[in-house]
Amino acid sequence: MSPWETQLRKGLVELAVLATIARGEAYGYGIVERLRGLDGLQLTESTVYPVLARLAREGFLAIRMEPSPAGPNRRYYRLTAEGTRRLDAMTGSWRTVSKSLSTLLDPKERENERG
Amino acid sequence: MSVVDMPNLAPALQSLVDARLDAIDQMLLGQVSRQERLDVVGEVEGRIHELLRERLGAGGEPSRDDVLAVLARLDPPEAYLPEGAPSMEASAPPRAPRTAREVAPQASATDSVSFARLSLALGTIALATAFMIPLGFAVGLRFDSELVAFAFWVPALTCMLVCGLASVALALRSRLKNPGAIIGLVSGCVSLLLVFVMALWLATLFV
Repeated sequence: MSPWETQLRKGLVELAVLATIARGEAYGYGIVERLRGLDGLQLTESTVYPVLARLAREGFLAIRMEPSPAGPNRRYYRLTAEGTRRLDAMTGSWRTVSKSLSTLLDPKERENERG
Repeated sequence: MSVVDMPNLAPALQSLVDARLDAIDQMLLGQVSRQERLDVVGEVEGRIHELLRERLGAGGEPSRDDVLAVLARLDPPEAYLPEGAPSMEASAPPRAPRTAREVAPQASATDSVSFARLSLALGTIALATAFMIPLGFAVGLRFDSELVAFAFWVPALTCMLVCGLASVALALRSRLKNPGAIIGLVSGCVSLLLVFVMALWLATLFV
């Protein structure tokens, strides 16, 4: 993965994690599984777990412990009110940036600029 | 490290799991807070146990191969380094400035080497000056004059005394941790012994 892709992905992991949890409470690996299927992000547990830990520390996620059928208790993550606000703000920024870039990269738009 | 240990995991197998968890913890050390490290390691540990359960079913007793197969399915510990980080050293937090306690032993070691070198040089000068004594004899006999002999001996013995004492003092100051200091000490002692013998001999001449 080239450096620019790494940087781009780094900025998007947090948004992807928050958006995934917004769909419903989930435990660590459950979140990884939900994200694994998304093209281009290539998110695995080594990317997602540290982000979950950080977002929890920053108060954007709340954790509920539940006994696991195997091993340590599972941590179930859900958005806090602050986390929801954060997600809304990030979503707004992403949509604006995404729209601007799409316009910039659209071949028709580029033709119009030249014409 | 487990909150709830799997009853079927033998100590040797638990060591394998712990080694992986410790490696991940090491990768995160200095990157994130201790609580975050514990959270991440806890997630990985939980995943290991779930994968073992998936592989063996409830109540199955895992073998070494089972544990290794499960560990192989996980991201390697290096994957927990921040993306784009070229190495542990580059990604490590900047080291705090050295404290006086850290600097002192190094400065002391440098001083020790300097003292040893100086001791060696002065001891060599003191010993080399000892050749002035037989030379003084020869010249004194040649001119049949004690004054001429003393003209050689007095500065030579003074030089040997001063350089010998300094050589011994510097060698002891360097704590004899350097071969140069030991040679300096021996040279200084021999010089002082020669000065002492010469002083006694001269005293007997005049008494």
